[in-house]
Amino acid sequence: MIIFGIPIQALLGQLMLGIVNGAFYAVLSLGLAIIFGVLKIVNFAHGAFFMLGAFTAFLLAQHLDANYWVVLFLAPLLVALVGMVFEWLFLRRLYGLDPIYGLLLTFSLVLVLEGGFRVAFGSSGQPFATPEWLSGTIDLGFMILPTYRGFVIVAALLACFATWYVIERTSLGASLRAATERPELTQAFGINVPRLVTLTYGAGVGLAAFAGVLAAPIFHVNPSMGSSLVITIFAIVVIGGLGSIKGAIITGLGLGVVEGFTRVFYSEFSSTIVFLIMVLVLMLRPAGLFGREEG
Amino acid sequence: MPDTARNFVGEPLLAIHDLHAWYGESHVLHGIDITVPQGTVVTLLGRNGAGKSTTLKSIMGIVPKRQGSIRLQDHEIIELAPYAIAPHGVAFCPEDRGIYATLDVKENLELPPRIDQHGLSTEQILDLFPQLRERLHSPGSKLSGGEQQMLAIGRILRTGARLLLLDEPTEGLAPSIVEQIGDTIARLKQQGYTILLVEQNLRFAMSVADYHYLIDHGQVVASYDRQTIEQHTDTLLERLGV
Repeated sequence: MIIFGIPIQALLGQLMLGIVNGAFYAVLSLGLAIIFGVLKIVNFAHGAFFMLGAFTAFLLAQHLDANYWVVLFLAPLLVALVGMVFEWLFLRRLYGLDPIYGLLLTFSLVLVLEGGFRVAFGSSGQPFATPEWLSGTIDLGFMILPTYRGFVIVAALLACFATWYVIERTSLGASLRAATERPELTQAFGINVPRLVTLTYGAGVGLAAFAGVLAAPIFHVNPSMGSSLVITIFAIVVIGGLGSIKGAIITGLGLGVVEGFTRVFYSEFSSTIVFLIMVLVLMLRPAGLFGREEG
Repeated sequence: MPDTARNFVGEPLLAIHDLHAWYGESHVLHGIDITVPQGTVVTLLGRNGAGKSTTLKSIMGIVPKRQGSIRLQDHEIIELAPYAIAPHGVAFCPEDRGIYATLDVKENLELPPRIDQHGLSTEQILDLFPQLRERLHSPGSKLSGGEQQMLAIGRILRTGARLLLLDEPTEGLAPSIVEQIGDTIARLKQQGYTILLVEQNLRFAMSVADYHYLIDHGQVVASYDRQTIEQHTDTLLERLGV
């Protein structure tokens, strides 16, 4: 079958790859969105934590010979810990100041982390083997999907669902939403908001690291692997609506697919389409597709 | 200045001495002195902007800069972090009710952590305010003013705090709801709760409270008990600008 002169196999194939990319976008923009929601800080270092996740996985596998499952859970936890220390030592001094300070500080962290890893490991990148039992392919009929990419989609969606569930359906999530809406009053009820803020930053960068571990076998693990991604992620968060959980997940997946389709029809345009959509959304719905207009 | 609230017998639950508070550069409280005896209802009267709400917020630690002494059950709490004050047995119901729009009624109700096991259960609160039962899963933003106020009061009864700070609980409510709130306050007092109430409605204040402080320009300018306030009703109505 042929649609607009393109074989349907090619379309469905790009749709699948779009979903894989969208899965990364969703996990990354989700982390960025929860950080912005609670801290009101634009975490420019998000891509660097993504890279840190991939490198932590690489180092754990390389030096401790750790099993893939262990790496998949341990690396994000370690990176979350690094994030919490960073929040506790530096970031929290900037709350209430002009957001530009947070942007500058997190940007400086990007320079330090990327620079440090470039000195230590060079910029060419390290290979990370796909775990053996995930290294085959699945025949979907219209395309041969590498099993690992299928696994990425499932793992990313599970991470998004788990995050959504904790925020929307548990008492910890209720405290978090309360702290987002009215931090001062929430403290008056005896809830330790500064601790929640630290945890949120840890969870947000932990998600970025989780995406980094998932990405490690697909991309080469290299110091700048996050910086190319982070700009797209910012555009996605803006399109979805700053701080919106649902918006980040749906927009992330959706734009991955849109990008995939654009690659079929007009591939030169595929890296620009997200920003064009961002411009349109900002013109028509400045609060984003899922954002709430500020009263 | 007659300070009748100080002439009670026994320990004060809350004693505020020489409390100053600032919002940025603006000095709002100029040395407030207030005593709240255990088991009583005390009101803060005064015009808008006199510093009544700021006094309550200062107790809860959510005013940027404060100075002086706030003793709660013999603990100095003015130096504590805002989240460390509620566990000392105090709970706050803000003037705008403080209902979270992104939480449903049940989540709003169960948000404040329990500080001791004597707090009411969710079931008991719903018995006290039956209107809330059928709204349990509505978002906080969809409630009427009266329902919001019931939720705001119910919410702090769950924590087990024995000192309740209520900021204008009757503001903007229909007379029947005001009556229900008045009954609730009377019942809470019977059960041994101590209540510090900010109120513009003098009649309502007189019907529920044991002691009254009149606040003006960030200072206590007069205080009354149940008898003395009767003699000053006319002057008070004038001073409150009603």
